[in-house]
Amino acid sequence: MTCRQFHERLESSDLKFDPASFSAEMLQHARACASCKALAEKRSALGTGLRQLRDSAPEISASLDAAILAAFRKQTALPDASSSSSRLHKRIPPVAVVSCSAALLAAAVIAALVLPIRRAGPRVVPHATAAAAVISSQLGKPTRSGAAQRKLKPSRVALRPKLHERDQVRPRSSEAHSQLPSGFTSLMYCDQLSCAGSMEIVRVPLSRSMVALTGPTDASETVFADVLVGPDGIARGIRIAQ
Amino acid sequence: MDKTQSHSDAELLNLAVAGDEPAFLLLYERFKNSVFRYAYYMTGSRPAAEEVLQEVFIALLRQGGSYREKQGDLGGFAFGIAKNIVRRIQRRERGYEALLGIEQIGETNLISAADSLTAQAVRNERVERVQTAIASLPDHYRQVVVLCDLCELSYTEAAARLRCSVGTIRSRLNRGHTLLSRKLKPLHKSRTDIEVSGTEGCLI
Repeated sequence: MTCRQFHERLESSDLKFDPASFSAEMLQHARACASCKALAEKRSALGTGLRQLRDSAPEISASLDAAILAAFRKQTALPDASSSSSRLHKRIPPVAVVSCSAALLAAAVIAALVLPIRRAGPRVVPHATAAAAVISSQLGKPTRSGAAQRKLKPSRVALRPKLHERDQVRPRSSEAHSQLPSGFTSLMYCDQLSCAGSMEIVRVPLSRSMVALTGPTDASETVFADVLVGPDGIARGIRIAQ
Repeated sequence: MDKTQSHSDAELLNLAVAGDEPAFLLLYERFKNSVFRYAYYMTGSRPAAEEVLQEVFIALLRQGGSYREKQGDLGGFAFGIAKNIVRRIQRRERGYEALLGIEQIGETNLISAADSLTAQAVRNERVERVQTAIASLPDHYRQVVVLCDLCELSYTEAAARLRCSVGTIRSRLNRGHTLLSRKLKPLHKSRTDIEVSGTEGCLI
């Protein structure tokens, strides 16, 4: 027997590292070859260690068995969520799911294409002066000191001038800043470009420090101001309302 | 119970998923030892092995519907689940070093009436060293050593579990044994030294 053959036999699982299971030929070779003998001893020691480790494995405790059985009972007592979802899958055919999602996708694409166009249309027309004219007609009236003016919370009034008004009033840019509604104090320069678009009036309560700057007032009263806000969100004018 | 004895593993699983308790118990009896031993040798911890066993059976009940007999035997399916849970535990426990629990101390350190103190100590030391050496093996060698040497699976069964060829199992096992022998070398050496020195080496 050659050393190679000895190694091959040793590596086969049938021996299970046990020298007692060596054939006479192997034993004879091991006696003659020191390196093969050393290898056999190493493998034998490893086999003993593995056997001892295998025997030292703990047993499964009865409490674990009971816990797993309890988990099984709990599991079977619960309504099965996965089975209900699979039932739903069975009810709705996949073709319907695909067609519905395709329809939804198409609707989303159409909405994405159409909405910006519709938004862009009316934005071109409104004008600061026209807005200001409407503001003065709506808010400048002393008779309108009804419920809207008595409201304590800030109100928001969107001003969208009618078409014929827009066509009639087309002021030049140089005039724009001077044509703010009556009573409004200009907060910044307002030309055709920056004030183009519908203006809004926002009623806000003024802070005490701001009220003090305007002059002597009764501290117990809350003072509101109308702020003229441009389409860009920047305040263009202000007036004390109440 | 007698009826269920003749059922295949897959049939038992279907019955268990449907809520049949005897079928579940039989299935549990069939797989509990192999799963537990595999988990114990892979993690080196009894609590971890218990956690794996419990989770494997809960997962079997939950994922039992997705099991198809054509894809492989149920043992392999359960083994796949166990392998994933063991990996998850190993990742989780990587930062910690295990201390011996009271139960483990009791198991490993208590001396039985039959064994002498020295023999028991040597055995404990050897078992501990072998376990440490196995734990330090690369994962693909460790899996094969655990399955073939400790769980006593045949090469074919181990190949089916690990989804590789029998030749790969053979070569990995051989390589694993070589690495283990190398790691356990100091133990063999010291043992030889004791044998050589004998009682004459004693100073007293």
